[in-house]
Amino acid sequence: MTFLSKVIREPLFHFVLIGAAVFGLHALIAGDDGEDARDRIVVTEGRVQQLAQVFTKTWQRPPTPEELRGLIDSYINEEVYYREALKLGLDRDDTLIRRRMQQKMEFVTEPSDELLRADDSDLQAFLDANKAAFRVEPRFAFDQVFLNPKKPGAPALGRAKQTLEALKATEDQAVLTRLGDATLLPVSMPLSPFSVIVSNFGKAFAANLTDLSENKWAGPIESPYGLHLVRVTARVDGYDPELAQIRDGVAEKWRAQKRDAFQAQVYDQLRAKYEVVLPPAAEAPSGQASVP
Amino acid sequence: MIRRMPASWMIPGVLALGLTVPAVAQDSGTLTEGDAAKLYPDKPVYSRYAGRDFPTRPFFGDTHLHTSFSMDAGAFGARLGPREAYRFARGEQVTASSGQPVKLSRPLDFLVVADHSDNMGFFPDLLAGKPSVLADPTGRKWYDMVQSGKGADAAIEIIVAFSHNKFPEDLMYYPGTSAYKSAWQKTIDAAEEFNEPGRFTAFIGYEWTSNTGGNNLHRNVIFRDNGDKASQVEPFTVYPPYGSDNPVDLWKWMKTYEERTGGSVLAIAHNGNLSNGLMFPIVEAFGKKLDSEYAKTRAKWERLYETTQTKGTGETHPYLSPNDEFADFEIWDKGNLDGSVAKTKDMLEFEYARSAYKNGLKLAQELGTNPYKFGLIGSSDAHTGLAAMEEDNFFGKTTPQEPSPERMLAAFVDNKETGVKIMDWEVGASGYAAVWATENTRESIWDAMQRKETYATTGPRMVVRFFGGWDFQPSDAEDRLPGHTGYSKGVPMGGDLGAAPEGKSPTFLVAALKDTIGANLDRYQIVKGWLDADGELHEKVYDVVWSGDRQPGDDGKVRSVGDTVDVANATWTNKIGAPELITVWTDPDFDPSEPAFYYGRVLEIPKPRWTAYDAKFYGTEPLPDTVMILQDRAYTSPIWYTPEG
Repeated sequence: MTFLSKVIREPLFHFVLIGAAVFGLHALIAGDDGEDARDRIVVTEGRVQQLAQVFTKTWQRPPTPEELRGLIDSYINEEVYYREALKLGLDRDDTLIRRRMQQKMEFVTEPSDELLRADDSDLQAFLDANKAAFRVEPRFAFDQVFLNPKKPGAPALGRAKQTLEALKATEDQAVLTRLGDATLLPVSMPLSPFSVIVSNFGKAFAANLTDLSENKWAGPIESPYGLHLVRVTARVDGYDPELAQIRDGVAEKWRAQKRDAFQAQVYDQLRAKYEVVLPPAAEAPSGQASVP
Repeated sequence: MIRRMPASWMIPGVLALGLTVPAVAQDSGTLTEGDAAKLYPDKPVYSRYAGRDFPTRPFFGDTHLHTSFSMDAGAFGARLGPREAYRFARGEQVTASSGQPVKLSRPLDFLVVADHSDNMGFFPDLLAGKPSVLADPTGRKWYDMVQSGKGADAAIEIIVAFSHNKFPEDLMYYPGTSAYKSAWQKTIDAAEEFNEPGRFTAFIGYEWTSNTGGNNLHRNVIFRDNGDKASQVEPFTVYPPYGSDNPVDLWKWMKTYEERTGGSVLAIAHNGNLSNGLMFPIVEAFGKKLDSEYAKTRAKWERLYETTQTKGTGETHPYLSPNDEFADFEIWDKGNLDGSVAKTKDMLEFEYARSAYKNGLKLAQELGTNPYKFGLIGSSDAHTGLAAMEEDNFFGKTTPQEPSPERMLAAFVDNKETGVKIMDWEVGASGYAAVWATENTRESIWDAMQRKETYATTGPRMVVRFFGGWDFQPSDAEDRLPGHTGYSKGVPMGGDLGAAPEGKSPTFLVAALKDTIGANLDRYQIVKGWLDADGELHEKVYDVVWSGDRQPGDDGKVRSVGDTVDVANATWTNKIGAPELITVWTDPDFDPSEPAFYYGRVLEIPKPRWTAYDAKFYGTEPLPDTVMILQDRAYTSPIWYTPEG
C-alpha cells in the first residue's frame, strides 16, 4: 500500500478529490433543482482513486489533472450508458452478459485461501490415495550410434552388426563421432525421465532400454528414425516419492480437487433454490428436473 | 536435470570450443559471428562436450492461448481458465468446455496464456485471507463457518450480503484495490503456480487486441519476468481512456514497463492475414509517414511474427509467390477479421511474412533500420483453453468448434453485406512455436525468442536446424554432431551472416528430424529473397535436400513425393519420405552487393487433415471443396545478409 499512501499525500490528489466532490455536489444540487427528478451519479473518492490507480499502473506515473478529468468524464459517460441500458433491459437475453455473470458467480464462489490451506496430514492422505499419479518415472542415460536405413549402399542392418562389433572391440571413445550416420538425435542422452526418452526416440525404443545391461553396447534397437546401437550408462528405477519431496505438486493437485468439489457444492446449493420446470419433451438425464 | 558426461568422452584430434549462446539481448537482436566469437572462451578446451552450453533440443509451446478470461472466449462458452490451460499443456487430461475428456499426445514445454487485455475485468475477491476479516464480527462468523467445514454455506451467505449491500463496510474496498482482484492478477497467479523451471514454463502474458475497422493488428506481449514485476503494471488495452489502437503506443507502454520495473517484455505480431494490408506498412501507419524512429522501435519490440495459427497461415500467398507450388497452404484471404471489408489483391503484399521480409530489405536502405527483421513462430490462438493442435487430436479454435459431428459444416465468418464467408472447415489445426533454448525456463526461452532462434510449425513437432556461415563444407553434413558444427562455424536461425569474405558465397548447414510420432519428411527448402541494384525485389525457393532418389527437373524443382493418404479411413503410411534430412547448401546465385534473407521450410509428406479424421470418426459428409489432405510444415526464422558500407 506504499503506492496508495504516496498518492494520498499528493497535492494533485487533493485537488482532484475536491474537484470530484464539487462535481458530485453539483450533480446533487442540479438534481434537486431540476423540474424532472433526475438520477444522481456520484463520483466517489474511492472511484477517483481507482481510476487514477489503473492509469498509474498502466503508465507507471500518475495522471495529469487533464488526464484525470478525462478518466472521470469517461467513467461518467460509461455510467450514463450503463444505467440507461439497464433501464431498457439490455442486460437481458445477451449471451455475453449472461456468461460473464455466470463467470463472476464462479469467481465469487471460489473457496477462500483459508479453505485451500492444507496441512501435512491432508496432503499425506491425498498422496496415499493417489500414489500412481505421483510415481516418479524410471530414468535412463545412454549413448547411441545411429544407422540410417535410407542411406544408399549396404543395408543398415548389416552395417549395424559390423558397427556393434567395432564398438565392442574398442575402449576408444573417439569412435563415437566416427561410426554411424549423421543425425540430429543426441549422441549421448543425459539421465532423462522415461517419457522424455519416449518423446525423443519413440515408445518402442524406450521400452527396449529397460532390458539392457549397463555399460554394454547392444542393439540394434529400432526407432521411427532407423536403427540404433545403444549403451545404457546410468539407470535410476522408478519409485513412490515421500511427501516432502513433492509437497508443492501434491498441494497443487489437492487444491484443484478441493476447488472443484467446493464449486460443485456451491452450485448444488444454489440449484436447490430453484424448481426447474421442463417442457414434457425434454426429459432430464438423471432425474435432476425433479429437484425442488 | 542431471547432466552426466562420462569422463571418457574425449575425442583426440578434435579441437572444440566451449560454446555459449549469448543470453544477452542485443539491440540488433541478432547473433553475428563476431558477437559469437567474443562470447566463446579464449582457450579451446580438449573435450567437445565440456561447457556444451548451446541449445541441444527445441522446446515446443504455444504463445497465444485464450481462456475463459477472454470476453469473447467466455461468450463462446469456454469454461476453462488459465489454471486448466496450464494443466492441460503440461500433459494432464482435462474436461473440455464441451464436456469431453481431452489430453495431448505429449506435454508441451511451455505456454503463454494470452487473454485479451480489454475487458479482462475485476472480480470481487471476498475474504481471501485478509486479517481485517477477523476483526469484524460478520467476518469472524464467516471465517468460523469456513473453518468448521461449512465453506459453501459461508459463500452463499457472503453473496447474499454482497448483493443486498449488507456486506460489512470494513471488509469492502473499491474496484482496483485489494478486495477486488483483477483477472490480470489471477492470470499472473496461475502462471506463478504452474511455472516449474526445468520442466514446464508458464509465461505471464496478454494479447493487446487492436482491431479498428475489423482489421486485425493484435500483438501478444510476453514477460520474461515473474509475478513480482508483472503485477506492478496493468496490461495495455486498446479502448480509451487507458489504451490506444496504435502499435506505437503499445511500444511506449513496453518501454515504460522496462524502464520502471527493470523487467523485460517482447511482442509477437498476430498473423497479419486478416489485417487487410495494415500489418506491414511501407509508406505510413496510422496517418504518420514511416520514419527511422518507427523502423527502430518496431524492430526493437516486435521480435517475432506468428506466421501460422488456427485462422490460417501467413508465410506467403499464391498471388505473391506464383512460382512457389507450396504457397497455397491454409490460406484465409477473403477479408478482415469480422468480414466487414473484403480482401483486394493489393492488400496481400502488406500482410504476409515473405513479402514483409522483402520490403524490409528496401525499408532498411530508406530508413536505416529494417523494421521487419522478425523471427517466426506458430501458435494456436485457440479460445478454448486447450492448445490441442494435432490433426488427429484437434480441439478447435472456439468452444463450438470442439469435436462434434457438425463442426466442419458451419460458417465461422458470414458477412452477408460483403459476401465474406469463411467456413469452419477452413480453420487450421495449427500451430506451435519451437524455440532453441538452453533450458526450459522463462529466462532461457524468452532470451531465445528475443534473439529469434525459433521456428514455426503447423502442428507436428519436427526438429529443425538452420545454420548459415561462409565455411560449411559438404562433409559437415556427415558430422555426428551437426548442432555443434553449426554453432562452431556459423550462426543459427535468426542470425546475421556478417560481411562476405572475398569470393565466397553463403553456405547453410540444414537438418530436420521428423516428429517421433508423425509423418516422414518430403523436402527441406531454402527460401531466398533479395534486393537488386535497380531496387527490384526478388524471391526464389530452392529444394536443397529431399527424400528418396528423386532428381530435380530442368527447372531445378524436385517432383512431388507422392501420396499414401486414405481419406476415407483417415490413414497414411511412412513408406514414402524420409525420417531425417541433412545437407550443406551453397547459394548458387549470390551477389555480395545485394541484401538478402534466407529461411528454411520443411515439408512433411501428405497426411489426413483434421477434417478427414472428423469425417471418419463421426461419419460426417464433408461439404464440397473441404480440404481433406495437407502437408504440415515448419518455417524457420531467417538468416540475413547485409552488404557492408
